[in-house]
Amino acid sequence: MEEKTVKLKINGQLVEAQAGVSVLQAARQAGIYIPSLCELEELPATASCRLCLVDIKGRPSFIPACATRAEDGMEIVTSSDELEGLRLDILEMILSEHPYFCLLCGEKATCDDLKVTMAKAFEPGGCVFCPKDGQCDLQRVASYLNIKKVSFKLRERSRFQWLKDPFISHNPNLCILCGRCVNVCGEIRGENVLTVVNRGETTAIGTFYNHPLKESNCSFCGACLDVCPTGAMSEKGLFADRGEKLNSQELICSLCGCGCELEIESREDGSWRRISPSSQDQPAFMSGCLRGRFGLKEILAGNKPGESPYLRTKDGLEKVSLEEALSALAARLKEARAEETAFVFSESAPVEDLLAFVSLGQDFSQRDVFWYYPENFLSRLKGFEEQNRLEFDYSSLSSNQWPDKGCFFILDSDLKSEAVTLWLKIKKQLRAGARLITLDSGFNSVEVQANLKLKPLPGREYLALLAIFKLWLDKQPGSLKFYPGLEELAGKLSHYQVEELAASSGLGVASVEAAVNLLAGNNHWTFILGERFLRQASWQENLLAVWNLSLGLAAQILPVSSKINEVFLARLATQGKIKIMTETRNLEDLIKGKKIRNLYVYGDLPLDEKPEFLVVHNPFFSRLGKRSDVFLPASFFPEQGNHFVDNRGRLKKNSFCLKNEAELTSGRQAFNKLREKLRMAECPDSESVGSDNQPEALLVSDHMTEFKSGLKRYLLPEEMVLKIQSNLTEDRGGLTFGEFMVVVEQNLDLYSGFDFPTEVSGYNQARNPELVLINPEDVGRQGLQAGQAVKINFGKDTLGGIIKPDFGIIPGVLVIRPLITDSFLSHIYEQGLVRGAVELKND
Amino acid sequence: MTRVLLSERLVPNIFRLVIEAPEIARSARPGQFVMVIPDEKGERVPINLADWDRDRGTIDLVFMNLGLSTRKLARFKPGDSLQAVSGPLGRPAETGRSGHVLLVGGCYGLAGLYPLAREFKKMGNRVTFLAEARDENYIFWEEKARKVSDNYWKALRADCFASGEELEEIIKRLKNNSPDLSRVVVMGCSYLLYVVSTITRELNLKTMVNLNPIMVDGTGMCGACRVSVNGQTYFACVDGPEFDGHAVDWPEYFNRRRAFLRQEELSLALFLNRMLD
Repeated sequence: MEEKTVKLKINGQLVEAQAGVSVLQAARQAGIYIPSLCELEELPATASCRLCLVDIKGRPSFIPACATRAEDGMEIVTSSDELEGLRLDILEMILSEHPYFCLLCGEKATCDDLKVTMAKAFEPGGCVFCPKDGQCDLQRVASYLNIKKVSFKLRERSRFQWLKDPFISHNPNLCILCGRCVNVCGEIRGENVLTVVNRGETTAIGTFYNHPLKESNCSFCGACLDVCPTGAMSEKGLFADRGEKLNSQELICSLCGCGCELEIESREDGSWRRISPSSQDQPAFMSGCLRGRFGLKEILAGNKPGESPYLRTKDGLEKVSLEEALSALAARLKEARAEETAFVFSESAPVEDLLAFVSLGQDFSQRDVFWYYPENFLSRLKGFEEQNRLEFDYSSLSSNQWPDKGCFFILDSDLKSEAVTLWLKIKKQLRAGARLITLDSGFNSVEVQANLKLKPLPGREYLALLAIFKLWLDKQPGSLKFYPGLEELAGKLSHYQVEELAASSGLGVASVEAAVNLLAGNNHWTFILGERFLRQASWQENLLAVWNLSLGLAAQILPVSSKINEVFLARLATQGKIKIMTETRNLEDLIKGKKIRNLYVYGDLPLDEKPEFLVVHNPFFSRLGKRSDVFLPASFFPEQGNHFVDNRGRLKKNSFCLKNEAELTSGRQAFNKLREKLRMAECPDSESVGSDNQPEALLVSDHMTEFKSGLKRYLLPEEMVLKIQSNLTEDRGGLTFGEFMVVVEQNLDLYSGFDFPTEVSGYNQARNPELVLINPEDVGRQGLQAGQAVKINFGKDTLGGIIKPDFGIIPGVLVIRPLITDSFLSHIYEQGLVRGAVELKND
Repeated sequence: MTRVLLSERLVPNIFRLVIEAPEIARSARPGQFVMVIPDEKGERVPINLADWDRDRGTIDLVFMNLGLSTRKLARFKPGDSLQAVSGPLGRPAETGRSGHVLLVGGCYGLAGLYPLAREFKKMGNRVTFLAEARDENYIFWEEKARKVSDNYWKALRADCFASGEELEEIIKRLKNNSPDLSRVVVMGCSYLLYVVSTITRELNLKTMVNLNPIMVDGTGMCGACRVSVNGQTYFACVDGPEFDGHAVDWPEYFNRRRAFLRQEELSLALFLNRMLD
């Protein structure tokens, strides 16, 4: 598309800018500085600070440059005595409420050296020890305007700091009310947690009813910290750098599938000062989440991975050298019978190490090498395609851009937690006018931003989609794309009324109609599938329904995998190189039946039953590691310069390499040493990933990303029709009073056995895995209370939890997000939907 | 266990606790301090005695909310109990008759100097109180101090920009106007102690500074609080906290004070994310 440009004159200089940009942006692109405290690239302009006032020829008064669109022929003056005078006045007024000694204090030069302990002060304000000193936009503007005095008496507001939340603190006494945090929270991140409260001189940044952030559905993404121009929003426990020499390095975060680039600020002694999303290619607030920003820092500060190897002796686990541990392991493996030895891994290690492990397992054991993949997401999708000889249109996955224009239909995916970078891109599209429909039977934190929110009963997603399809057929059959099978499908559906289908899916007809209208009124739809959409008994019906709808609308499909390396490993599984293990009960049966005596786990596995000989190879001395016979420390992603594959199938190289004090630096080296001891040949090809002859494309090509336009035909829902009938006879899926449909959601806060909520102080306040989300109506009906400890009875097993009412949950449904730490949890997680009853906990 | 009767924030960062401690109140002397352990797992932290009431059996502690222990202290509410308070510790300040005394206080020193001012006044001295702060908003106990002093001056950072007098000029003016000014006592942050000592050295004015080094037991056993004065090693807890400001080895003192800064920051950061009520 041809880009329109406008030509304008700024300070006599001819400037050409893209049509639609603001005067401030146009000036910035031309290298002309206009001071501003509230404007930021990507953020909508609010014109609250009034510092960017400029003089535009022909306009009666001065106009804020950030909120004025650049137009052809404009003549603008950005700096004159009058303008600078005005700006100084404005700045002085801002400073009359913001302690300003950092700007003007004569002692500043010596303070750095002699008042260092002040850095820890409770209320840093107006001093070099403000956490923002040196990086403060207010200081920058003040130095540009060369302020010499503040004519107003400083008003010390003495407001209370926010101290009840982990990671983020707010000091209202430093706030200049620019509104950036409110803007980024609502417009960029879609959180809508921060807002401006009160009026007049008591105006402040606050939350709904001034609840702490942790009770305001804040996801603790930390974007407010990135945008705050002063030290008002600051990271807890981050103190002024006191002129220390700081190193900055880039790191690929592999705590989830997004693979965000993080920037690590470290001190000379190697300790980490701060982690924030990288601001190289885009503003820092456009990526990142709490795990990478706050969790990671504490892992390395307090719980350093890469402990010593351990070996089980009569007296329990004892620290040994790597040599001893490997010798003991090799001795055992030499005696072991290959068919009684199993190799299992989880996805978090670098690609090279995973390949080396797979090859070790294949060379040694006659059994398959298993990947513990409870979501079974991409593999199910692939299986469905092969079974029906069709191919989804994945072009949105393979192209280098996420869906750029168009509308989104999110199915069972809580994007904020599963793929936050995708969510931020979608949110940006929404600001530009895109439409969003969500269809989710569980908890979905993005649905409040949707144009239409559909809440079907759990497991009835396909009926909702079918009802939409049916209504479409009834209303405007001609507008659906024609492919073979359409007539048969229409014939099959003609036996049913839309009302019937809608009612049995749990939706009202009005919602279905609204969905059809939205879908019909907009183009370029992308169906975004979350792993929960396929992690339920009716996954095939779900896929079938979404296939038919996407075919009819010529829509794209975007499966959102949430774990690192998932795309890559799913490809290995498709090629038959590894097998997928979705839950651990089968393995436990084999262990109980003495079919498997030796088990080598690379990564983490929720296993209750311990085999005769258990090897755990993991960065963290995890739950499983503590029960092992041999524990080998693996390196953790910040410690190695290695490759990972993100949720778009891109190979990412971690160039960062933390100094590792542990004995070994990579899984590969350990495997090769072991091979040596077992007299096996060195692992082939393990180093070649990512080398020049193996570009990114090779890794992802034949798996998911190339659309080869497979067979295009509508699929007939044979069995589904029967299911509809049986469902219709039951009320609410046959749940009796007190019984709930329990939706087991994914929780990424367990990374390779490292449990963030327990290990990182304050983390469980931000994201508590014990919360049981329940509709407020049900809370009253069942005689429960918010915050009450309950147990959920699943027949044989029970699970503890804490009640949290949430209007996003439909009646009759409980949503839990447990960390999958044992085989029972792995069992119910794999099923996705389970029946359970809430019982009060009697302690 | 020692009961807290009152807890308040006086100005940003400065907090006041009034606690029940009749024995300490009975024997307290100006310039002394107490050792406080906030909670079961808390460390010992020395705090100046800002005031005491022998009849009611209470003492006033005014401190700066700076590190982990003072942050814990600032969270105490009336009715709560501190784990332990022991004192009075340290040698009382020299408060004999010397004519005209200048007391320079900053931050918590504004309160810590109050008993000294009262004592000097009682001994028949002329007392000038000079409060140093960044701004009017950071000054507290002004009325209280005015009652026990003849003059009350303020040296404000904010004024410096508005052509006000700087600390140095004020002290020089006082010295010129009052030839009988023979003694300066300083209490506050280490930097203030150092700066005032530097100024008065030129004027040849005897200056006593109340040092606040890192302290562990406060009874002369551990030696953590050692300072060099006139080339000799003293323990601030039992030999001080008042020393001759012109004889203190300042570089060593500043170095020792920041010895554990990184560890202090780390423990504070962990605490901040843990204590969220």
